[in-house]
Amino acid sequence: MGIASYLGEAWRAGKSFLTGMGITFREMVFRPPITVMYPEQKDPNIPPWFRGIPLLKTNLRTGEYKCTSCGQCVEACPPKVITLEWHQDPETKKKVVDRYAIDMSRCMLCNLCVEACPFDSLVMGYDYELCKIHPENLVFEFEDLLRMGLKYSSAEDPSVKKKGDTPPWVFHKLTNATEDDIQDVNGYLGRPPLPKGYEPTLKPQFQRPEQTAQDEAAKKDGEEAN
Amino acid sequence: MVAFWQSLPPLLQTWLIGLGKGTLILIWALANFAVVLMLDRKISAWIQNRLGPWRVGLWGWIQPIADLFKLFVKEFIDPNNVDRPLYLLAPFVSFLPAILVWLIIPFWNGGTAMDLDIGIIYIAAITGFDVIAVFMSGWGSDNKYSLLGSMRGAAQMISYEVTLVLSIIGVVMMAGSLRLSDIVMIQDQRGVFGWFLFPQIIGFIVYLIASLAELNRTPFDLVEAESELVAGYHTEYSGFRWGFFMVAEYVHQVGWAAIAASLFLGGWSGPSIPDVLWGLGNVLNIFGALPNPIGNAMISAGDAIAFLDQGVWAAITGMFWFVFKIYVLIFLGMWIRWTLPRVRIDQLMDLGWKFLLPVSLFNIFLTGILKYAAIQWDGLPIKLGAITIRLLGLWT
Repeated sequence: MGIASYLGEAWRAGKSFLTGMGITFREMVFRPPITVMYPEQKDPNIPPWFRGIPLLKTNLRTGEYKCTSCGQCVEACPPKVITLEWHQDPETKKKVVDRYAIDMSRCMLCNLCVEACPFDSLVMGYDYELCKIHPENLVFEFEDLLRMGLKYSSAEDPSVKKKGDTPPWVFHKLTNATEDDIQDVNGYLGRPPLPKGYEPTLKPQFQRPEQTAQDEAAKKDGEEAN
Repeated sequence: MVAFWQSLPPLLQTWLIGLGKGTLILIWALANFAVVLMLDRKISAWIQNRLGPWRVGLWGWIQPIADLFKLFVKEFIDPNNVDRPLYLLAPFVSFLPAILVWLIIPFWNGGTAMDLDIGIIYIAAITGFDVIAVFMSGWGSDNKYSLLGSMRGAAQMISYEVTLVLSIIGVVMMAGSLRLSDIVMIQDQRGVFGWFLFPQIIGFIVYLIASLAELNRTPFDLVEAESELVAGYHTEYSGFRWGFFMVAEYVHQVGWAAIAASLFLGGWSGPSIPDVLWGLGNVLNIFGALPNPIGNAMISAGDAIAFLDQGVWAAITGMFWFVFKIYVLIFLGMWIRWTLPRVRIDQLMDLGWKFLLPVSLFNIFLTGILKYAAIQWDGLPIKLGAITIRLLGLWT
């Protein structure tokens, strides 16, 4: 420990201090804020695994709800917030829903009902503005769930045997992972290891300026080629 | 009016003047508190790519008043076994030095509430008060964590006080006076490059680090350390009693910036309005290539605009430059605060005792030698043809 190491440490401290000050100055002056002014603006980029409220789907081709009153979701629900009452139609021998209600004041948004549903009737909606003044209004009835679930419904062709799609909370569409990847034991929470060369697409405010410029240039080139 | 004033007994006059000055200083301090609190939150937001408070008032600038009002209407919670006199007095004792510092600050040429001839010693003495407040609140709270926090704070503040005062000694040696207004006046006569910032750069850096530690600002905010510990010595305080600690912290920060501006950045000294106009004219006429319209107008106006250089106008410009320098320093402090992570307690003590103290002592030694050499050998003149460069000119 001589005077040289003493001064060297001071020099390195000062140098790293100036580097840090430069970085914060750059962030302060040249980077725009990434704040989304919530009530006026809304962030449209809700991730596909976002869980807002479980909703019921309708088959838009026939106009019938897809729920068959099998009761799997009621069984799967940990806090027991789903109420299901049904009767059997004497002519078609099919179950008809009398009451299907989810008490959102106690729902913990665990997604287990959606995973349990064998008929792809339940879906986790992106709706998150669900506040009510009176807590009893937080019980969403069958009609409410169907109406809110309309935008997640689709017209289905009965002739096509639908292959089970990877559920959205698996990072399937982002990573182009195959079934083998998803079965991989090293993955966690259903998320496969990221393939080599995978680059996440960032929201514009998180992108570096040069990256945005490159994107725009590529887009312009594409338009010119067309 | 004047006759009425002179008819009052002298003792009453003294008291009224004192009351008026005290009120003005209090208003000044609280106004600065609001601005600095808001600046702190805004600068932290900008550095972290956020917007900061935005909803109250224009761009959220009334937020500190709303915050203070909220603190004002909150309940005071007294823990059971507090030492009541100490517990109740501590916030005010902590607020006192933050206000008292402003008494000796020269706002403009002659604009001092109390022109003490022992200004620097007064500052050192006032700083001691703060430690007492910290320990009073920790001891009075009857809480072992508060006590530990106050011991931590007292250890930090006492060890950095030594360095702080030693770093100012260099300035005092160069100015030859402990009076703050004298120090500023000497810097005004020396000109911009003669400000003690340049000859005393080591002292300035040491002062900056030590005052950050003295103010308990990040990276030295171990006293409060809100992200790791409970608030330290003011854990048991609530409502406006806690608010007093916060007000004191921010007012203290402005006070330290004001002292630094007076000692190192020339206080109120800066270009007056005619200087600025003259310079503007020089820029407009491309430094002499064209006739100088503003300069010609000023010369023809003659004594008619002489009032801009004296009296109220001089006070206003002095105040402007002084406040500008204060806020440059405050901005620097906040910039450092939101850049650097918090140091460990052993790193803090190492920095204080093993680095800053020797460096400040070395600075005193160096200043003495350079000043002696500069006076003895007339600034070590070197003649280059007609030009004479005085190497040690800064230290004369």
